[in-house]
Amino acid sequence: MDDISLMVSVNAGEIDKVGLLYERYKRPLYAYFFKLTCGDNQASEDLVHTVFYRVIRYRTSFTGKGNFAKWLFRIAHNTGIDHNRKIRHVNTYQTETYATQSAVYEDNELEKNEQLEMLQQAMCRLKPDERELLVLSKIDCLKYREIAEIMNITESNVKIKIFRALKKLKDNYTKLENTIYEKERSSGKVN
Amino acid sequence: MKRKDHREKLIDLLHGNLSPEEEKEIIAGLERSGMSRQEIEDLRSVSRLIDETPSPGPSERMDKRFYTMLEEEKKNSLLGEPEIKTKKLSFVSLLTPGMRIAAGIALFLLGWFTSGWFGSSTPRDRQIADLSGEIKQLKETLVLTMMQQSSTVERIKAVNMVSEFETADSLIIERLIGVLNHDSNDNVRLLALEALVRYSSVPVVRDGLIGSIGNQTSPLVQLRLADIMLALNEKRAAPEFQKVLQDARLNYSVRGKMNETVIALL
Repeated sequence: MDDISLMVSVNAGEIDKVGLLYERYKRPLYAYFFKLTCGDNQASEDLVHTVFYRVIRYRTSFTGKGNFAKWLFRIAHNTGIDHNRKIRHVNTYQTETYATQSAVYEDNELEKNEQLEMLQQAMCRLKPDERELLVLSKIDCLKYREIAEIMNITESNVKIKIFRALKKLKDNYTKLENTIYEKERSSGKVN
Repeated sequence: MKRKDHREKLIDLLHGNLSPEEEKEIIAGLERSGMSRQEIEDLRSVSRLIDETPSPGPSERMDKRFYTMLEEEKKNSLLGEPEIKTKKLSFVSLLTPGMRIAAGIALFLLGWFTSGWFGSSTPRDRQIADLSGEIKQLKETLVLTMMQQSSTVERIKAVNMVSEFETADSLIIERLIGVLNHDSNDNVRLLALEALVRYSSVPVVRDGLIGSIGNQTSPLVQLRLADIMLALNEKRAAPEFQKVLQDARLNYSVRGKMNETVIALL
C-alpha cells in the first residue's frame, strides 16, 4: 500500500494506518532532526514524535495532491522552526556536544571518524536554514522542486543556496582541519 | 551558460545527476568562471562525507511513546474520524440570531395550530404537514444559501446538513452536483460526493456522478469515485475513466485504481 492510499485510509477513520507511515519514515525523519540539532538525540526523538502527532491532528489537510514525503517534511520543517524558537541557546549547546565527542574520536585516532566528526562540527557552524537545505538535499525521496516548496523558495534558489552552503561547509571544514593540525603540531604529535 | 546556471548544475554534478558529457561541459564552464578543479573536487568530497555521516537510529522509547500516543488518539472520539465528518451539527447551532427568531415563530405557530386542531384530526394533520413542509423548505433554503458562502467551513456545514434530510429535492441535488464539480476545496467536494451517494438510485445523481469524473483533480475524490462506480457497477463510467487515464500527470495510485476499475466495469 503506498503512502497516499494509507493517508486515504487514515482520513477515512483508520488511524492505525499512521503506524505504517511512522515505520516508513521514522528513520529518515530522525536522521533529519539529528543532523539539524547537531546530534541531540533526545530533541530529535521529541521532534519526530511531534511531527507524527501533527500528522494525526492535521491529517485532513493532506489532500492527496503531490508527494506525501513532501507534506511530511513540510510539517517537519515547521516543527524544526518552532523548536529553534524555543531553544535559543542551541549553538552553544551544539558546540559543547561535539567538543566532547571529538575528544573521544581523538583518543581512538580513527581518521575517518575524525573527518566525520569535523564535518559535523562544520555543519553546526552553518546557519540553521543552510544546514537544513544540505540535509534535505540528501533525502532520497525528495526532489529539488519539493525541497523548494518545503522551504518556500524557488527551485533555482534551492540549488544556488545548496551550492553556497556547501562552499561554506567546505571552508568551515578546512578551518577546523587547520586548527587541529596546528594543535597537534604545537603538542608535538606532527612535525 | 551563465555563472548562476553553472552553480546550479554543479549541485546536479555533485549528486551524480549528469551524463559524462554534461559533467565535462559544466566543469569546463565552472573553470572558465574562475573555479579551480581542486575546488570542485573539494566540494565533491565534502558532499560525499555528508552521505557517509552516520546517524544513530532512534530508541525503542520513541516507538513506545508513539504507539501510546496513537492508542490515545484512537480512543479520542474527536479523532475517530476526520474532524469535518465527526462534528455533529445541530440545526439550531447553524442559525443566525434572526433565523433563530424566525424558527421560534414557526415552532410557536406549529404548537398553536396543533393545539387548535386537537379535536379534528383531518385539518390538524394537513396543517402539521404544511408546517413541516415549510420548516423543511426553510432548512433547504438555508442549505442552499450556505452552499454559496465563501467560507469553506460554512460550505462543509451546508453539505453535512443535507445528510439530515430524508429526501432531497432536485434543486439540492443540482447544487450538490455543482459543488462536486466546481468547489475550490477538495474536502467540500469529497463531502458532496458522500452526500450524493445516498441518492445514487436517482438517475440524475448517477449521471451527475459520471459527468463529474473528468472534473476531479484531487486523488482522494478520484479514488472514492472509482470505488463508488465499481459498487454501483456503472459501466457508463468506464469511458470517462479512460479519458482521465490519458492525462500523463495523473497520480500513480489513482492510475492503478482507475485501470482496475475500468477492467472490472468493461
